[in-house]
Amino acid sequence: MTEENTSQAEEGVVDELLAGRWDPTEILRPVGGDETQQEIRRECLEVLGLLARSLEPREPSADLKRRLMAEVGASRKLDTRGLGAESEGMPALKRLEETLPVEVVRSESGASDESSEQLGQRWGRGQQHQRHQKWMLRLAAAMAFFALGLAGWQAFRVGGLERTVGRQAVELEAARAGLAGIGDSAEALASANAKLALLTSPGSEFCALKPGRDSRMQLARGTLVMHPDAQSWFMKVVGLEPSTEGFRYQVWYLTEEGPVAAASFGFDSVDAVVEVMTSRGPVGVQAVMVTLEPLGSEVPSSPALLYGDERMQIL
Amino acid sequence: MLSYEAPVEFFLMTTAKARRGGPRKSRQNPDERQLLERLVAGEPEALSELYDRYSGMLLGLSYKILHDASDAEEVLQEVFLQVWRQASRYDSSKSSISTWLVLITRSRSIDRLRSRKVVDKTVTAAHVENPRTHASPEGVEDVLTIERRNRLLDELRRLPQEQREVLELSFYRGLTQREIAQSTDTPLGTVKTRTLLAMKKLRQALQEDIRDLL
Repeated sequence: MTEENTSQAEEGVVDELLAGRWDPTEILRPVGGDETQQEIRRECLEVLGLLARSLEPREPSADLKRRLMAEVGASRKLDTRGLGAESEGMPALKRLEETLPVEVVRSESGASDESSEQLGQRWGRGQQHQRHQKWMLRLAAAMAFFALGLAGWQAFRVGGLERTVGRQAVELEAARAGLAGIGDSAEALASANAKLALLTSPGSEFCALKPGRDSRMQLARGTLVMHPDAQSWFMKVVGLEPSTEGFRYQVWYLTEEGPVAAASFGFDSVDAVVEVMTSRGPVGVQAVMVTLEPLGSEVPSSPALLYGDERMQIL
Repeated sequence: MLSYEAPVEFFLMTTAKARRGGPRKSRQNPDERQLLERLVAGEPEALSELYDRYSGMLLGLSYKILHDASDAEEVLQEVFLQVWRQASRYDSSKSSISTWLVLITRSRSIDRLRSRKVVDKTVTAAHVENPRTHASPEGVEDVLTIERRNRLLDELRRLPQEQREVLELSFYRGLTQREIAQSTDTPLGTVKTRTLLAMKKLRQALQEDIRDLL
């Protein structure tokens, strides 16, 4: 080591000292020069370090170390949050062991001797279990909401169906009533068609019915329309008295062999009109008469109330 | 303190004597190297040991610069937090741990001093004031440490007053070359020469202590 080299190294350190570049980071900076100069530089630095040893030491406050270690502990906890970025066996993994809740239990019992890795795995499993429980709860809540929604929707649908069924039942009754009316109308229409066919059929004959000389119902009148082949006939009567209980009006065909019962009918009031239509027709009819007979009578037992024997061809 | 430093100092002295005259392979004693490895590994106990070992000296330095106990303690806490965070960046081939700590403490103390803008033109010797001295946990300060301090004080006293003044203004006050020249009403070249001379004398006089540290 030459005197010149020593002076240069000392000058370099002193220059830095005088320039105020005594930041500790300067020590971390790579230094140039040969080994001798670096050695001188290191020795100069140690001289400066020794200057502090020439001072009387001072006793720090009692709680200073406690505050320092508490802050160190807090910074270690923050460090462990970045554990995922560090590899196995790194200091942060060891520090994690001390920050885990399981470590507190372990230190109290002193029974376990798990490694940091095992603790980490346990911690991971615990986290996974908690996440699983959270998902299960969320799933259960979602299913409950879905079931409630489904039940509400079904109730709404049932209510709608009940209203529809009630409405359709009303419509069905109306349809049935309509059908009944249509049936009656069809019957009336068929009857009218038969009457029209009888009236317009070539060879049909008209016969007026009038009260007999001994009849007590002199205001009664009747009309009889029949066909020559005697297959069908039609009669309309007005002016008869209401029939009493046990008695009915009876139509008789008067033939060469005697009277033949053709039809019977009741009569409700003086103003009522009765129409009798039958397909059964007598053969060899000479006259027609109407009497009031007790039920079950097979022969005329009272004077003729209406009588007709004059026939006139319509067409 | 005794349980840590006494055997360490003994070890350092014996190994330093064995090294004397030959090239040094290691620049850090095994105890401190192990302590630093534990610190890098994130062991708070290592920081606790480091604190017990150097907090008194560093607080004395900070107080010497700041003249305020509260500020000095805040600086001390900041220093150890910085050490805790930057332990992995420390290079043992550049300096000893104690010197690294001293320079960190000095830097932070002077930063705080500048922020306070306190101007104290009083130049005092390093050994003058210390109202509250440090005691080790055992209540007994290491004999070897006391001997070293006395030896350092002796060497500083041997320096001419103007050389010691320049060194202390630079180290404890953080004054630059120009600021020292203005403060002492001395030419700039003279300031530099005085500083160089002081450094040379101390380096030669403290060779044994330097080698112990390294």
